[in-house]
Order: sequence, then C-alpha cells, then structure tokens
Amino acid sequence: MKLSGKMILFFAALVLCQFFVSLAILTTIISRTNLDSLKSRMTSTLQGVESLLGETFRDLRVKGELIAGQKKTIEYTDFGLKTLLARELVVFRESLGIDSISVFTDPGYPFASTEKFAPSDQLSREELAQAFKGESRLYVSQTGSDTLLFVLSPVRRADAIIGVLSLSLRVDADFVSRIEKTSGAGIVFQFQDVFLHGDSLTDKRVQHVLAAYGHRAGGDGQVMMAGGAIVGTVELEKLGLPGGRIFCLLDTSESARLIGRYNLISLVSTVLILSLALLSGFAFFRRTFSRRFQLILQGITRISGGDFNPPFQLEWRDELGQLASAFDEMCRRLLVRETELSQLREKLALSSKLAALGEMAAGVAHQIRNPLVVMKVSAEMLRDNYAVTENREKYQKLTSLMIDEADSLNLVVSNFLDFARPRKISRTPTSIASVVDFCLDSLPLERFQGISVRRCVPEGLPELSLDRNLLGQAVSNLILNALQASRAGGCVEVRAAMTDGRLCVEVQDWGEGMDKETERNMFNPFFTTRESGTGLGLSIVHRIIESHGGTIDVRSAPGGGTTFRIFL
Amino acid sequence: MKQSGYDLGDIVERAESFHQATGIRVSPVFVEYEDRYNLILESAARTVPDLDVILVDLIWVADFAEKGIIDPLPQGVDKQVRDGIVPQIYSAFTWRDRLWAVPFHIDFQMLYTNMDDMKRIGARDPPRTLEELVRLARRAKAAGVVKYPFFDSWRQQEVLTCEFTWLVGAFGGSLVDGAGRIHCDSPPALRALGFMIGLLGEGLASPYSLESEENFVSEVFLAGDCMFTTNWGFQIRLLMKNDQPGVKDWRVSPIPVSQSVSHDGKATSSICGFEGLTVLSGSAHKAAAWKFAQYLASPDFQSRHLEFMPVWKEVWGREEAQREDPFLSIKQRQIAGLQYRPVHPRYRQISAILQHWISQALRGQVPAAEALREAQTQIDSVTGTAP
Repeated sequence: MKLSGKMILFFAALVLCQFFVSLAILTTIISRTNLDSLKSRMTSTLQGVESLLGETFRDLRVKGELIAGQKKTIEYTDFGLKTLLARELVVFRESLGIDSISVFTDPGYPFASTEKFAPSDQLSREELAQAFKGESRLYVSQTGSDTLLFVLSPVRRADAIIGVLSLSLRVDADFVSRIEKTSGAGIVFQFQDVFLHGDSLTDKRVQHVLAAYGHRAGGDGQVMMAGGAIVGTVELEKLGLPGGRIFCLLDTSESARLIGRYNLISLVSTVLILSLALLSGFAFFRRTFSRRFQLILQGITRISGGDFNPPFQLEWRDELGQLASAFDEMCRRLLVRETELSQLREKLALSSKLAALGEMAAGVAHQIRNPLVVMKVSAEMLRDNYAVTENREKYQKLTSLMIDEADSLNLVVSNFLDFARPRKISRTPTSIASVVDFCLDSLPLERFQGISVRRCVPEGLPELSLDRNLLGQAVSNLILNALQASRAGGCVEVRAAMTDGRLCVEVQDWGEGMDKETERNMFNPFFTTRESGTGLGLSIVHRIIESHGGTIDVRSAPGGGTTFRIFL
Repeated sequence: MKQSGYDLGDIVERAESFHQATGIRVSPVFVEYEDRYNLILESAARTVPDLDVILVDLIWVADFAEKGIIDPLPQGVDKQVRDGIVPQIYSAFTWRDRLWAVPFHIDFQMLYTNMDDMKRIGARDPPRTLEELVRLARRAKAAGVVKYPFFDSWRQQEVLTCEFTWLVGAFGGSLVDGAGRIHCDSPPALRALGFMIGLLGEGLASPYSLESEENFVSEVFLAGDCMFTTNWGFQIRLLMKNDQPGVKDWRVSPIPVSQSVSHDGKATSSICGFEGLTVLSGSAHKAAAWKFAQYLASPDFQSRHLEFMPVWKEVWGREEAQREDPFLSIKQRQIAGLQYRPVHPRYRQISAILQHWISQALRGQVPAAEALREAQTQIDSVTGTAP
C-alpha cells in the first residue's frame, strides 16, 4: 500500500476513534445533565401547574361571584326574567371564556342557562343544596365521557339567597392541552376513574407511563422516573377539589431520541467532514507531496543514470524544496567533479600516451643518434679531410647537405629525447620578467621581420619558486609559435599578471587562429599544422607546465588569433 | 318616556326639499327629548328666538301657551287640521279651545300578548277585558309558564302617569272631569290603582315593573319573559325585526277595558303620546315657519313613511297605508279609545305628584285610597282648584 493510502487510513481511523470516544463521553454527560435538568424542570413544572390550577379555580370562583353579584343577574333571577337572564349569561360566557353558566332558583332544573340542555343531571343536588345554604362550591362532575368542573355561587338579594349560579368549565382534552401549553409538560388529569390527557400524549403512552408508575405514588410534588418519563403529581384536594390529581410527564425518551438524533447528525457530519478532509488531504498530498515526490524520484533516477544536470531547479520553500535544492546542489558539484574527472582522464590518457611515446622515442632516438653521430662525423671527415678535385663544389655541397641533414635529424632526435626524458624540476625563486626577457633575448626574432613583440610585464610581480630554464623553454615555445602564426605586420604580446593569487602568463597573437579540431589536438605529441614541425613543441610546453603543477589553456578562433594562458 | 319618531335623515331631506320648493332654507336642530323643553324655553327667552318651528310634546302645549311662547294655529292651518285629522288626535293639542300645534307624530300604547305562553295554557286570543287578562295571567302563573305574566312600565316617571291614565279610562273614568278639573281620586281611578296593586300582590305583575321603563319592557316581552304588556308603537317594529331567541308568536291588540265598562269587550283604552309642530311666537319668520310646519306634517310626507302611524285621515284610506301597516286597523280602533293626560300649564308638576303617590301605593307604602287622596289634595293645591 502506498504511503498516501496508509496515511489516509491512519487519519480516518484516528478521527473516527476520536469521534466515537468524544460521542460516548458527550452522550453520557448530556444524558445525565438532561435527566437532572428534567427533574429540576419537573419540580418547577409542578409548582407552575399547581399555581395555574389554583389560579384557574380562583378565577372561576371570582367569575362566579362576579356574575352572581351582577345587578341584572340578581334582578332577572328575582323577577323571573329567564330569557333575559340567559342572554346576560351568554354575554358573560362569551366575555369570560366559560363553557356554560346556569342559574338555579331551586336545586332542580335550571331557571336560566346558556345551554339549551342545561347540565342539571351533571350537577350534584347535594352540592346545589349546599350552595343554596350560602356556600360557594367547587367540584367535578362526570356524566358519561363528560367531565365538568363546576363552581356554584349563591345569588343573593339583600340577605336572601334567591338562586345559585352554576358556572362550568369542561375538563377535556382542550382544557388539559391548555395546561400543557402553559406548563410545557405532558399533562394527565385524573378524576376518579377518568383520565384525560392533552394533545402531546397518546393513550398508549399514558397507559404505559401510568402502568409503570403504578402504585408508587410518592405523594404530592414528588418526582420520579416511570416508563421513560419523569413523572410528578399534583393532588387537587389541596386546591379544593378532592379526588382529583394531575400527572405531569416530561418524556425522557424524547430527549433520548433527540440525543440519538444529534448523535446521528454528528456522525453523518463527521463522516462528511472526514470525507471532505480526506479528499482535500488527498488532493493536497498529491499536489504538495506525491507529485513532487515523483519529480524528485525522476530526478534521482536521472542522476543515477549519470545526468548530473540539476534536475529540479524549483522554488519550493518547504522541506521537499530544501531536499530538491540539496539534490540540485549535489548535482552541480557532481557535474563539476565529472568535468574535472573527465579532464583528468584525458590528461591521464595523454600523459600515458606521451610517456609511452617518450619511451619509444627515447629508445628509437638512442638507437638512431649514435649512428647518426657516426654518419655526421664521417661526413665532416669526408668534407674536411678528403680533398676531391673533381666536382669539388658538388662534393662540398653534398657532404654539407649530409651534415645539415644529420644535424636536422639530430635535432629531431634531441626533441624526441627532450620530450621523452623525465622532467626533474629544479625550483629557484624566479622572476617572470627575467624569464620573459631571457626568452625574447634568446629567440631569433630577426627571422620574423615585420612582426613586433610587445612585452607587457609589470614591475613588482612576486617571484615564484619555478624552474627557470624549463619555464623559459615553455614561454619561448609559445612565443615562437605565436610568431610563426602571425602575419607580416602582426604583433605578438606577452603579458604577465597575478590573478586570484596565481601567476598568469599570456601569449597572444592576432594570426590565423585555430579551429576546434586543432584546438582539441594541439597538445597531442606529433600533432602539427606545419610541414616542418615535429609536433612536439606544445606537448613539451604542456608537460613543463604540468610538472610545475600549473595549468595551460587556449582561446582561439579561426582568423581571430590565439591566446595561451599559463597559470602557476 | 320613550320617544320615537321619524329618522333625522328624513327631516333633513324634507327640509332640503322644502328649500328647493320654496327657496326658504331650514336648518334643523336635533336634541334629545329630555333637553328639548329647556332648549325651547331658552330660545323663546331671547329677543329674537333662534328657533322658529318647534316640535312639542302635547303635555307642554298648555304650559307654552300660558307662557306666551307659542301662538295658536293660524286660521287656515287650524281649519286644515280640524278637517283632515280625527278629533281624538288634534284635540290633544287643544288648550282653551284653541289648537296650538299641527299633529306630526302620534303614538299610543297597545296590548302585546305572548301567544307562545297563551298556547301553553290553551288560550287562543288576547284578552278582551281586563278581567280576562287577569284570569289568563293566573292560569299561566299557576301552570308555571311564567313567573310574572304581566310586565309593564311602572317606574316613577312620566310613563307611570301614562299607564295610570289609560287604566283610569279602562275603568270608565278620566283624570279630567267634565268641569275640566283634574280628578285623580275618583272611583275609577281608585279601581285602576287597585287593579295595579292587585296584580302585584297576586304575583301576576312583575315587581320589576316598578323599576322598568318602556325600552326594558319591550326587551322583556321580546325575550318572552312575560305574557302581557302594554307599550308604545315602537315595540311593534322591534317585534317584527326580532331575530333573537324569545317570543315567536305574538299579537298586538287594543288595550281592553274592564268588563264593568264594556260588556261586549269592544271598548278600548290607551294613552296618547303625541308631538306636534308649532311656531314660536317671537319668531321673526312666522309665515315661513308655518309654511314649513305644514310642509313637514303634510299627508304627502307621512304617506312616504308609513312605518309610523299617519295622522291624516286621507292617508289612512290609502291602499299603500293598509298594505304597509298590517296593524293600521287595530291602531285606528285603539285611537278611538285614547285617554288624555291632563292639559294644564303646570302639568309637569301635576304629573310628578301623581307619579309619586301612585308609586308609593304600588310599593305598598301607602294605601291606594290614601295615596290618591293625597295626590288630589296636592294637585288641587297646584292647580288652585277645589271640588
């Protein structure tokens, strides 16, 4: 598996692990906090419900007394104006938000009512009788599925009770729902065997919770868990309504469901975010690492293949950039080394070749030189000691020719020997100016009429430890070559200067110059462009400079002259 | 006292019409009935009254005439009235044998019967005598149909004098004797008061009647909370457009009189509440004012507003009047039995005395005979007359 794949897997595993651990911890904390919060909320809810019901009951009583005390209620009741009274009661019912209002002039059928069918059968005659004695009453009555909350208020004229005003509020799902809306909890109203609940609860849910609640009724105001809900009760007896009870339910399953939902949302969000992170990370990895890694790999492959040209030359500023820069730098150095190595190899090959040639030439020269000396001496003896009368001039000419040629051969052989002879450098403090002056003095400059030689050697150049004779031989060779290459009217310039702590001696002419092939082979022995040359001059110069630990190079162009530079 | 009448818009429209017809501009001024009397007095007190034509209650006529505030009708107008209107109507505006106002709006009480309750006790027709009314009321009460079958406006106000006046007539008497003396302790008056007290005592009339005026009485009847009541004509209009729960079947009939007065049950008694148009004596535009009073009270105007009882005989005979008002013939019968409150310059004081003593008697605080005797004494003192 690639590194990128491993990294992705590792990253995903890490994030998911972190997510699940965090989720578990958070879920636990939230659940416990939520439970505590629900219990606390239930306590305040119970107080709120109790307060609300108390207020509702008080409000009903006040309304009952208010209506019963109205002048019209009293007079219409007293004077038997039942329809007018009913109209007034309807006005009260509409304005006060009450379900029904009736006035009884005896504990039987109502005298006037807001309803066509007065709920006389739901009214307790016993309660009515008590009300006719002057007591306000609050009670719940059930008939079939109807549960009504009644307030009975005596209607008084002067001191006499002339009737009882019955004010009823239907205790139904709407009533309970109103309490639910105010309290924010699920409400179950229990009166005897009747259980009424609001819209927020289902029959099944109520049965389940109350079954779990069972007989564990802890009493008024207590809070406990039952059936996945926090349950609290308010006993209505203390509010003047015996036999009634309110159950308040705060559903924990709902909060658990919400937590689960939040968890799911978190999980989905995490997976989405993780996917996005992986995709973007992958893209980032490809862009910033993988692709660059491939480039580096390709570069290294090129390097290993011997291509030392800096492969990257990029402007990456990160670690990979540094790596690439290091590779580039390494390549630059390797390239320099390779160049140097190549030069060394060439030099080595040249040296080997020169050495072999030298040995061979020395052997040949040695074998030739002795007979050649004998031949020369013999020719001189013939020329000088034997007088020939006939054709004497011709005799003189031929023997002189023999002697000249013997000298010429001897020179060649001497050069061979000079080339082949191992160089022993005898260093002494040497002034380059004196070397140049010696060369110019010893060279047959008169043979090169029309060509001037300029000496540009400043005073005060330091003396170096050099072999004066060998260096003079080398400079003389270079000047001689320059003279030979110069045209009539030309000029040869000899310069010397210190450059970067090294002595630089330059010999320049403005002659024909060299092509590239000539330039490449000019230091090879026996390579010459002249008919009479041995091709050993520049090879000897090269060997002398090398033996001094210096270097020599040449800059030339066809028709543009040639400049030799010696660095010591 | 309940006052009904033409809509204000109708009057304004009529004034505009008058302006177009005559070039005389009229600027109607409307005030509540309770404020009208004083406004007229204030205007009349000015050197030049700012009012010209005024609408007067018949009970003010003698008062204003004696004060010189109004003039009797000009001869031509007088003749027109006497020729075109039945005496039972125009005589209400008579004082010292002169007519002082052109009858404009007439109203009178009639008997209203809750036929829903009547059916419950098996009765079919409204009572034709007061005694029958009492019998029916007893039956209804006994049957538990209604707690108080009779409900009327017996509050200590002008309406109480009205009720007492027609009752006196129903028992064959009158508050004014042949000599023009106000006579309130006559045997018919005593029987009338005794009738009222008897209804209350027997629980046939609601004690709440003592606190009630005509508007509330109509509410009670419309609600079906009583079986009988007497009330002004406005109640007919309310009943006809009533869409509230209450009485469904009702009947309007002339108020019956005592059997002792009418054996055949055809005689009726009622009280009138008329208003007439007249002109302030100080008016600077008398001719124009009388012209407008005639124009406004003309048969032409009344025939366009048949929801109110017209005063002109010629309008009664028109076909559209019969068609528009199904109770017109009953009203005509009732007009024949109209009773009049005393016409006297100090009527307001006289009426207040009557109201006081009748109310005292009804509340059982003073025996009926004593109450009427005291009232008579005080009225005599006020009027300066003696038997």
